[in-house]
Formats: sequence, structure tokens, C-alpha cells
Amino acid sequence: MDAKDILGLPKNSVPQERKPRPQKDSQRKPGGISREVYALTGGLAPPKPAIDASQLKKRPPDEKITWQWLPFTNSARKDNLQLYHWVRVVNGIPPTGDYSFAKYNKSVDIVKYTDEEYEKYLTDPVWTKEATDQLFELCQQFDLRFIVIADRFPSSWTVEELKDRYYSVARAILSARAPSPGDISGHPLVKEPYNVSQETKRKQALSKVLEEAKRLTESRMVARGGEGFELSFPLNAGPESAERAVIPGDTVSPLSNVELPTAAVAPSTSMLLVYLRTYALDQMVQAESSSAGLRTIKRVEQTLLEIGVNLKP
Amino acid sequence: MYGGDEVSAIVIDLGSHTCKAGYAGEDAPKAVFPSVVGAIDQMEVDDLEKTENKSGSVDSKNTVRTVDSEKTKGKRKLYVGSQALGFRRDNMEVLSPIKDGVVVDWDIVDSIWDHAFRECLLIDPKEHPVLLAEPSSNTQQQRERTAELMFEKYKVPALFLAKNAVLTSFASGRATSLVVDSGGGSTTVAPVHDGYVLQKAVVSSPIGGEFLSDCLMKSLGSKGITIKPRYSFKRKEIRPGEFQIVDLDIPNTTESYSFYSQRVIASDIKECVCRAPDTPYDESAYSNIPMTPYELPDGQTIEIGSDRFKIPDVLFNPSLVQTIPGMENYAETAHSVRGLPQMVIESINKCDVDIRRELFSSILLAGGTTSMQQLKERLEKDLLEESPQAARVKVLASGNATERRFSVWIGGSILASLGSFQQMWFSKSEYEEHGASYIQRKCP
Repeated sequence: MDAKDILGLPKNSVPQERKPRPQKDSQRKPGGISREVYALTGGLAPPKPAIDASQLKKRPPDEKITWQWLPFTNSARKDNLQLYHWVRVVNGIPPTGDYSFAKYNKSVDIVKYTDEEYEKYLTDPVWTKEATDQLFELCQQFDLRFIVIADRFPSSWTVEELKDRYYSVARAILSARAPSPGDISGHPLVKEPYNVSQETKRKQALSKVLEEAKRLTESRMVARGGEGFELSFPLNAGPESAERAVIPGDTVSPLSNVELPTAAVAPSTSMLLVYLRTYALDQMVQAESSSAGLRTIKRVEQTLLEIGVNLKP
Repeated sequence: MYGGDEVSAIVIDLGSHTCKAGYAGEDAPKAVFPSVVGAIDQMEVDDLEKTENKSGSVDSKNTVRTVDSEKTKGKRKLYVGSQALGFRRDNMEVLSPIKDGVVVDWDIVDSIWDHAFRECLLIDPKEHPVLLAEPSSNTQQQRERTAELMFEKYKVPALFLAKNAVLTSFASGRATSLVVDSGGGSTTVAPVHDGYVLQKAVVSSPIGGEFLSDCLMKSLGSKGITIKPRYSFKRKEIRPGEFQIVDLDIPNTTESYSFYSQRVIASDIKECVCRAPDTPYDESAYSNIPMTPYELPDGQTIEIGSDRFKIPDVLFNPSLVQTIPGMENYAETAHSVRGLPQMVIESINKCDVDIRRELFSSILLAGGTTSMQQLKERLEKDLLEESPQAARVKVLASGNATERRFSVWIGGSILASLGSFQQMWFSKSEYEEHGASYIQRKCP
């Protein structure tokens, strides 16, 4: 009612439901127990709904509806297989039009090249024509799901190598076919080329994070019996490797338990920061909610600042 | 309507232990029967009998002697289905078509499908497209053979072969997951990414439900308990309410049949009584636990103690097999086989780094053996210890034991009744045009 006041709508819109409701109210729950408890035993049926259900599904009375088992064709198929399904037939006329699910047949547009184009632009010392053709066929079949393509490719190329070959071919074809370089400079393939080395390093770093977490867990279990974490300092002041904010026990000085993650630091750069910052944040959150308490966290931070280490990259 | 469009497809999942068949769109298979058959070699039978053509009788692969055209030596009569198998017949051997996950005897497979179509589901395969579930590491040759058999003999209008792991994944509504399928014959760990199995990362081991039942049988045997198969005794009522067991001596019962019957009883014991232990099994720790009684079909009550926990732990620690007397011949294979948590980690590590976290957080359990109590909790616990800290480990299993057993079939039922799947069938005309090898392209 308040909403209606606010909106300024008339209040007299459905008065007739009022009348049957008081009648139903009189046969409400028996006194003495709460409504929910009574409902547990099965209770009363819910009162009459506000909307009259028989008004909803009004069909024109002169329509004759039957359901028939009819064959259908599917434009998404290349052959003319006819399967059967139930069809709602109105007045003897079956529905026309294509199969309703055919519109969901979407696929990715894969660049296609001819043999001359291959000879002119796409030859590569490592990739043979057959291998490139096979790659493109798999790309078409699997809609550029490179992880699956790498799995099905007979020789063991990595995902990055396959992506590199595909994207460089696509870029070369694009630039070869474009009338002028300006036309395609806005195309994402040209603007942001695929960087194999960057991807490879990112993946190495990620796998090291995943492995290292386990190694640290093991050494943690070995070093103490359970509680307490270790500190690991970043190697350079600038780009940092995995940072774990951890609280030592009260009796142990923070410096003596430093463990440098030896393998983790790849010579790269801010790339790692992007992927590891969230992980560091996780650890921060974990540290906050750990049992060691706020005071110890402050103490650790103080110590770190004294040593001259940045808390956050 | 949502995404469904029923075309009355049939879904068949031929596993190593049971075969499940039914109509797509339903939530459970109509026909569930053992996927082993009884076979009686008719070499000694008269020529007169060779003309009878009951359903299920198939020419065997032995070559017919061209000299002797009257007698077809080596003709086998096959008995399929739980009813036919339950009845003991003279000289009936129990044969399985699948060895080590690979089909070796296509006649038996043929007879099983025939039984499913004509006797269980009562349909004519010419009118229904068929969706078959296949093992996650099936070879091209097997798939082509399957396609040939289906199109040539049964003349199905359309066919699709889907991998077990993909179907389980779809049954739980996910496109990416790691499927741990522990069935009768073997255990397979397969990652599924975006609806496709990553074949290079599939890990499998021969330890399955049947292996565990065998271990249990040998273990009980070494303690002096013999399991009498159901056909080998009769209960006679001496006085009202009191029964006496009379052992029947039945020669002509093959060893494979008696072993099969005993294994059925051992499987039942295993399902009722066994539980996965919370910690790795230790002989001394479990030596004093209270024994659980179990009544065998012949009325004998046996007590099972530490075996309750030892047998399921073989899944996690296969080298335990060596401590079970009678199973020493499996000791060599047990060394090369790894436990379940190690298989999961190995499979995930073979996948691309980017998807590992997602796989860890959606590990699905499927197959009959995974309905064992506490298995999910134990697996989760073991994985938490061995997995990276950065990855969140979550093992999912449907609470309903029926759903776990039939999850592959249910996934197939869902898939075959989707509207957007109808364009993916491998039809008969495509088979005739391109040949059986086209199946590799159509059913990736």
C-alpha cells in the first residue's frame, strides 16, 4: 500500500479479492501453537492466491491443438538426416520454418589461406605445410580451444607454440590481403600481437607458484609442528616474487626463519606482479584472520620496515 | 522450451561390470544387466540342435571347416541378462567382452546390444538414433568397429560416440572438470575441458570394484570362510522354522561360473560392510576393532573385522594387495599402479597450467565403487595434503548412490535430448558417404 501511495497509483485496483480472504482467515491455525510449528505437521492449505489462475491460459476457443510425431530437418546439418519429434499442430497445419535450435550453431571464423598465399607469406623453418594445415583444421573443428587442440595434435607442441603459429599466420594473411596498412592497424591481431615468450614465462611462473606452495607447505610441516608460518623476503627491492605475509611465533625472531624462494624468481618483471598480487592479497587476508592477532602482525610489519623492505610491491 | 527436444534416442553405456540402456530424456536407465554372458560351446551337441535360432545365439569366431559342412563346430550359444545368468547351466562359461578396457570379443558385444534392444527396451533400432558411451581412451579402430556394427547390423539412423568422462561432466552441469570414474573393471581419471577430454592426461589403473571383491574373497578364504555360491546348496525344512543346508554336488559346472557366483556374493558383502578408512590402513591399528556380522545366503553368519577397512584402502594404496594371502600374483602390477590421490595429481599435472586450478576445484566422482562410504571424504583429505596451497580442492559427488552409478548414462540422456545436439549426430548417409573413419571427425 505504501508503494502505491508513493507512486500515486489509484488504490481501488483489485477490491474483489478482499471478500474471500476473510473467510479463509477464520479457519487459520488452531490457537496455542505458532504458525510454523503447525505447518510442520502439514498444516493448512495456503489461502487463495491473488491472481485468478483460470484467466491466464486463455486460448481462442476455435483452435484445435494436437501433438503429432513428425519428421524435421535441421539446417545446421549438412546431410538430410530426418529425425522425428513431437510437434504442436494447430488446426491441422504443422509449424513452418527452420528447426528452432539451428540458430545456436555458431562457430568461430578461422582464417583460410590458399596454397599460393602459403608459399608467398607463410613459410616457416619449423612448421611444415602439412603441420600448419593440420593445425588449422583442428582450429576449425575445436573453435580455437587451444588447450584441446594441443591435446589432440599428434606431435607434442605446447599451447604457446600453437597459438604463436596460428596468430602469426592470421596476422600475415590479414596484412597481405589488406589493401593498405592503415585499414588493419585497428584490428586486434595487428595491434596486440601474441607474445610467445611472455606467455611462456607467465606459465612457468604460475606453475612454480603452484608447486612452490606445496614445497613450502612440506617444509613448514617439517620445521614446526603446525602453527606459525615463515617469512619469505622478496629478492630485489623492485620487482618482487611471491610475497607471503606470515606471523612467526612469539618466541622466534622473524629474521632467523627466512627462507628464500630460490626457484621462484624468474628474471621477469611486472608480469609476475599481476598474477601474484592476488595471491599475496590472499595471504594478507589469511594473515588477518589468523589466530596470531593484530598485534603480532603490526610487530612483523614494523620489523620489516626496519629492515627496509617494502610491504607491498 | 529450455533446451530440450526429444527425438526418442536410445542411450547405451556398456561398462566393464554392468550394461545400462534406456531412453534419452529419462532420469535413469530402464535396463541394467551384467555385461558378462554365459556361453555354452556346442561342440558336443547334436547336429539336430544346430538349427535352432533362439535370440542370443551367435556364430563364434572359430572358422567353420569347409570339409564338414553339416556340422558347424564351435557354435556358441550365449545367454545374456541377469535372469539368464542366474540360472545355472551345464558347461556354461562366463565370458566378458572387455579386457583391460578394450573390447576383445565383438560377438558378445553384439549379443549384449541385441538383448538390450529387443528384450529389455523392446524397440527396433532402425527407428531410433543411438548414443553410445565409450571409454575415455578408446582407440580409433574400436570406434570404427563400433560404427560398422551399429550401422551394418542394426541399421540405426544416426549414431554418436561420447566419452564417459564428458558425459559424467555434463550430468553435473559442468563443461570443465576432472572425472574420477571408478567402476567394476578399472579406475580412470580423466580431465574434461570445455566438453572435450584431454586425452594425453588420462590416467587409468586396473583396480576396480571387481578387483576389490576378489581381494575380499581371498582374504575371507584365508581366514577359513568359504562362500558357497547360491546354486550349490538347497535349504530343506526339517522342522517348521528350521532349515538345514544340503550341499548339492553338481558336476559340469564350470569354474568360471562358480567364481562368478561367488564374486556376486562377495560384492554384496563389500557393498554392505566396507568403508573407506579415514587414515591409511595400518595392521596394528585396526586389529582390535569390533567385528560386523554378515549373513551369507546359506545361513552362515560371518564376522568381518579389519577387512572392512583394508579392502577399500587398496584403492588408495595398491601395495596393500601384497598383504592379502592369495593375491601375490598381483604384486608386480601393484607396484606400477598408483593410488587414487596420486592418480588425480598426476593427471592434473599433465594438463596445461592455466586450467589446473579449475580442475582442482571441480573433481567429480562417478562409478559404482565410489558409492563406498567415506570415500569422498578420504579422497578430499588425501588431496588436500598433496595439492598446492594455491589451489582450492573440492571433490563433488552426487548424494544419491544411484546417480553416482549411472552418471555416465544420465549425462548421455541429457546430451541426446538437447535441441542443440541434434546437429551433431553421425548419420547413416554420412557413414555411407565418408566411411567409418569419418567418426573421428564427427565425434571428437
